[in-house]
Amino acid sequence: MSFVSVHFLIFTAICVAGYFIIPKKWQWIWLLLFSYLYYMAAGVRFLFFILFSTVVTYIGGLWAEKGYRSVVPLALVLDFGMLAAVKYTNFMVGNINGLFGTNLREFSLILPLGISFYTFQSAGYLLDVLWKRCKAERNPFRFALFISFFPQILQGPIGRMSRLAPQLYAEHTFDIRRLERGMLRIAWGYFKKMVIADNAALYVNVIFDNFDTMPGYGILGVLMYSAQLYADFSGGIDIVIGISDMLGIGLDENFRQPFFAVSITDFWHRWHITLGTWMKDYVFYPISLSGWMGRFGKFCRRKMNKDVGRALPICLANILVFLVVGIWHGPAWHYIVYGLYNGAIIAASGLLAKPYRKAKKALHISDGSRGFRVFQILRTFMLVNISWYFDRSGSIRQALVMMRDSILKFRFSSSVVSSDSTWAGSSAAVFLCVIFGMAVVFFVSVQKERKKDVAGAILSKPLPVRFVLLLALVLCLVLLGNRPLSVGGFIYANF
Amino acid sequence: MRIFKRILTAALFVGILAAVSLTLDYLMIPYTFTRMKVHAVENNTYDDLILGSSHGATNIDPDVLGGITGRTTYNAAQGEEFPVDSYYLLKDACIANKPGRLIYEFDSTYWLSAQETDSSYALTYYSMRRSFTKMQYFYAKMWNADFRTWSAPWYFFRDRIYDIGTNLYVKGTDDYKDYGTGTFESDRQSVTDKGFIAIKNARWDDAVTVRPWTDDMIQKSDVAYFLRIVSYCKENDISLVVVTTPVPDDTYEAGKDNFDQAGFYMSALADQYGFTYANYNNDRLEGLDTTNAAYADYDGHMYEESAEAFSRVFGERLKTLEG
Repeated sequence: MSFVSVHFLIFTAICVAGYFIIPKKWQWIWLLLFSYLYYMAAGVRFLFFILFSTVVTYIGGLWAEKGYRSVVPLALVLDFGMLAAVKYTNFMVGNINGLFGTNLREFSLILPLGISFYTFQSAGYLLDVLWKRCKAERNPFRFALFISFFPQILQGPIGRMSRLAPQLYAEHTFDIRRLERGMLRIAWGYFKKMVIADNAALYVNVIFDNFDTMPGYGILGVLMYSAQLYADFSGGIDIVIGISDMLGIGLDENFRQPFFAVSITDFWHRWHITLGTWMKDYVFYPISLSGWMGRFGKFCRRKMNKDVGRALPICLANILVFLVVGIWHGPAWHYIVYGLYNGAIIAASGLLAKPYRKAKKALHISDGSRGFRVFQILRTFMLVNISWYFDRSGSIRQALVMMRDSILKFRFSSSVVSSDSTWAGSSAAVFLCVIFGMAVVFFVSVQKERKKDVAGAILSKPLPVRFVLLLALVLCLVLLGNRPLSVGGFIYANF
Repeated sequence: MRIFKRILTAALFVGILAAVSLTLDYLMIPYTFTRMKVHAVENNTYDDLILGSSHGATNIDPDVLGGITGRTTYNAAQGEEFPVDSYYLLKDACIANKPGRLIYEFDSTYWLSAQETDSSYALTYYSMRRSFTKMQYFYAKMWNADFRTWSAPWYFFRDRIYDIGTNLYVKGTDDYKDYGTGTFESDRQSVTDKGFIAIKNARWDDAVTVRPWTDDMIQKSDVAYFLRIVSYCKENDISLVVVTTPVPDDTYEAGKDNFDQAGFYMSALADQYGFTYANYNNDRLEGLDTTNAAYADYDGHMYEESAEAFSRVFGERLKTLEG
């Protein structure tokens, strides 16, 4: 059930309306019902996967709380094992065939809806119970709702038991302001998705799918991909958060103006935040605080420079974290390189922190200066864009060829922006739609970066102004938006 | 009371939005064959109804057919009409005027790819009168479509903003109000009041790619809706004749295997479900001009004269079937 379909809008409208009509004590049951209906709309056969994960995690949580700590690794193996089986089996088969010259047959596997997201949410819950950060949920149906809550199951944000569950089970009173706010957020999400992402996708697909026949357009392609990926993913999350808002449920934010980041570390604090914090809490800290890492740290400090010795274990933990991030993104080597690239930059910045500080001091560069901040933002933007080559390309070779050609064979046809152009199968209007959409997003992002509540400001305007603004936003979807290029439409829905 | 006022405000906003969208529909959606044909299907009387693709619209002349069979015939075939559209158009027709025979023109290329959500995607739906059939059609076609397809069909015509003046002029004419054919008259084509599109001259396309007909390419939904048409005809005592009109010789030679495979597939369905299938691609007729000169394009849309000649041949075949 695509977020842009008539079906989804009617489904959501019925869900929200019914939620506030039925007795409050049944609200969570209503949500559970709709979450499973949503899931079944993708295919009844997928039910097995989410039910398996729910049952395993539910039992694992209860037993962990009773003190049977060893059940948690077993539950994690089952949860991640199922994810690995459906997502990575063919990747392994392909690699074994490549390495040993065997001819093992690939399996016909279909990735169940949202499996990466609910597996991570389940694993987070198990570890939280184990580490006594939250209590195990005793009601299996309430727990099933925590795993399956329908707006977020497709592409996150990855929720935490301690923040999400109490809201899911609480009784909510109809609040027209939340409803308005939610609707505005949904419209904003559709604007990003339809006006920016779907238009930019035309350029991205042509350039990346024909990289060998039309070399030199890589920079345009990757910039368009930046716009597409951000607008697609954050737009989808806006819709998810908007729907939840209407129900009175506040989800964690997943984006915080990522393109204003001043470093790659900062970028990952602003981009896919819930995945970043999940990795930090459940991978980074366990690794960096583990006994073997402690011994490794002592060894490094003894054998090397004291600063390097202190930084090295953290660097190693970061590289491992981003290796997992790469694997999470998909069963392909280019995703793994994408993750390692990010990890390597963060690791390098940790190792070079001291000389970097010294260089800044020598050059009299102040961290607070506006010019330096702009430099940092541009530098980070460039580094992020390099990583997108690996993310979007179909192989590592393609990414490297495109990077090389972007510099050695750089081209930017003027026909891209000429009024009668049909370059790359799209018209100049499509290009201008992306530019217009990004300009609006940039303006809103600047306001948010200054801690201004843009939605609140709009909603506090007089009625006629609100009418005109919302009308303009909705008309933009129709007038400037492009059609989604694939069923389902959202990039992260495939993860 | 405050909540009531706010809900009223929200309703007002939705009302304004709907009014703006409807105004833009009126300004930007042109007068189409579809509007004319769906109106005729719903309001005219006929013994035979032709449904199918643009090949059916341009290659089968109902006047010629009727002259031979002695039955009134209406041609509601149109470009981008997929089996799902044909099925609901047939059901829509049967609300007020059940035809005695359905002539379904089968263009195999339609069954090889999913319908694109372009400007013709929803035109049949929008042209239909309100009915339970239309509700079923909504569920079949619009339910999973992008919400803009349903709420703002003018969205497909947004790049034709300069046509607003022409649209306004056309919509003010009696031809538009009477669902006439005059608007479609040009030096390239004309449309008869029986729904036949007569091509007078057109630019010849240089090349065509014939899609391979393989089992994995056949769209399951197209087959399913075609079989629904077959069942519906049986249940309602409507005789069914499926026809494939001939493509030019060069096109046929270029994709012979694929055309033959498609023909065998439909023949097998005809044997299994008991309807008549006339395949003029496999059975190339002696005496019928199927050289490039007889066609407006490589794809197989005939000129008016060729369509008349083909319709005579097909009409004789229909008469034989009646006999």
